[in-house]
Amino acid sequence: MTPFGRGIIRILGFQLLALVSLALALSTTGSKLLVVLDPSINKEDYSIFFDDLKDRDFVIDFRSANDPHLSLFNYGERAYDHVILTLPPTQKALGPNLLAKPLLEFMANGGNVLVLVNPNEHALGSVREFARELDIHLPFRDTKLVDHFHFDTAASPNLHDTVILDPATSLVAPSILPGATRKKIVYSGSAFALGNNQLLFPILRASDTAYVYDPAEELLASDSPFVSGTQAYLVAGIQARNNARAVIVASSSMLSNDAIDAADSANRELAAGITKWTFQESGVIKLASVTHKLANTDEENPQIYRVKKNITYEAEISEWTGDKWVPFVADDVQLEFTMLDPYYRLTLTPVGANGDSELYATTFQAPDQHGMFTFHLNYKRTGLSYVEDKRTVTLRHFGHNEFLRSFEIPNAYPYITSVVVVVVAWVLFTVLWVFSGPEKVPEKKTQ
Amino acid sequence: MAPKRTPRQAVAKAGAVSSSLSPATESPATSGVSTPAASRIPALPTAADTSAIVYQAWNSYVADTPRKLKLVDAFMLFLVAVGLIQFVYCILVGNYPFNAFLSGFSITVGQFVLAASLRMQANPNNSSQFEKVTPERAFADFIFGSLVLHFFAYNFIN
Repeated sequence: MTPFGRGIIRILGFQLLALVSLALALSTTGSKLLVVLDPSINKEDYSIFFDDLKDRDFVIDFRSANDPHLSLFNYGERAYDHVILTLPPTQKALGPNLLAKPLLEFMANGGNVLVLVNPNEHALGSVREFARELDIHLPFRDTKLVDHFHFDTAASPNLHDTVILDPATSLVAPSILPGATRKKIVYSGSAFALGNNQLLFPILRASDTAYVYDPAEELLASDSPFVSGTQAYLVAGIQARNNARAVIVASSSMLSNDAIDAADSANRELAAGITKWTFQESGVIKLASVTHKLANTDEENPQIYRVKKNITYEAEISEWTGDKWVPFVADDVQLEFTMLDPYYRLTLTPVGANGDSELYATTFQAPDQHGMFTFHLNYKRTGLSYVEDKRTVTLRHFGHNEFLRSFEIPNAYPYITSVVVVVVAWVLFTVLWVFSGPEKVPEKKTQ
Repeated sequence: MAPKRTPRQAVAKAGAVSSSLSPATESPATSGVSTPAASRIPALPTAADTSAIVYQAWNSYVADTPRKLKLVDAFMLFLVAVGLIQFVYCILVGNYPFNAFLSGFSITVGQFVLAASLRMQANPNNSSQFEKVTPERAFADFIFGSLVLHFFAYNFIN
């Protein structure tokens, strides 16, 4: 068979597998997962993590970073739906297929990326540029997160670089670990700093007694730690404007079997929460439908409205629970009725569930200005998918027979009565004039 | 046609009105007193003089005006009152349905103008100036014009 034919069968095979697995998959994007894992790393050290992923119906493809056939794209389309990227410990750089540009193109095509960065790896520089695109500033090489007050006494009694985190204070995104838990998070790695990008979704940060420094250079730490306290983030993500997600975890040992099996550790749940958010299983909402119409009529989505008419706008939003769409209820969904500037900004009230989505509706009076107006629904919340919808309609001015008649305006009553009164008086005058007798002629003086 | 008055009678009529206003140019035929011209200094009109003038004018009007003209005058006064009320209302409250205001105001103004024309043309004293127009013709014109005006006003109210 020609390579072309083999390629076609591979694509078709993937599509068939994808179709079958999509019916069972729990991610809304797809189930093809690429894990870039260097062969020198023992996969068994992360067996619990990968088994949990396989239980969620992901089809995992383990590749090495310097595999020459590894490519995120296949004939212009993305070959995988998600990528877990770990850095090879012995190499200086990643291959050309995993640099920042291919990863960003992968995200632009809707793929999700999870990067596990161990700071003492030589290939850190390759990921640094990708992280900088996400406004995440990775630390220098060989730095570690250290906390002298909350550390694992068994694992690192001297260096204090295995820290214990309390989810109540360190977990910034409560939706990642649903349900209160008393367990702690065992963490050994570094931390990075976040920029000011609005699209960032911070997940886990260090406690306020922790700091990042290079153990080999003690002096530097006291003057200028790379990042310290609650500004040191351990797990943070970004959701791009096309809803593709990327998460950077500054440690890979957090997901290892040792950390998961440690006593009283919430690492397994945390790993599940992180991967669910990254791979579009949680925090996914969609706009199921949008309709606008004149209030109390049936014709949906007309293209022309008239000024000062009552308009009803309805939107339906669903949330993905992991295996089905359910109504998504929120009290801050807003509609903007805009022509260059918003004329109205109205809150859509949740009316009730409609099948698998929640119906939001509002009724308002069109403003007294004609023009091309847009119904702009813009719902962007941290941790949830971005929902945006724009519909443009025409608002025409009054027709010549649509203005109020004068007799409907109370202000005009005096003028109308005056017309009637003058006409009546004129009739009286005419009658009196006609029927008034002849003039008495003043006598002529004959003197 | 008004009866012709002799200059004598005209002066005699005017004498009572202008006794305090006229300078020393009275006709020597009627003036029984001959006074030197220098001592006839005109005095400023007092309040009593003004009210006397108004009173005299009113009496002369009531006595001399024919009944039909008084009818027209009453009609015109009524129209002025109605128009004034509307105008004040418009200033105070606003001219929101502007064409309704125009309609109501212009019917009073237009009717006033037509009534004034009728008065001019139907006044027997003016018959010398309107040789081709008899009072009946003037009245017919008045009715026609009024009907057109009413039609316009009723439609312009909207």
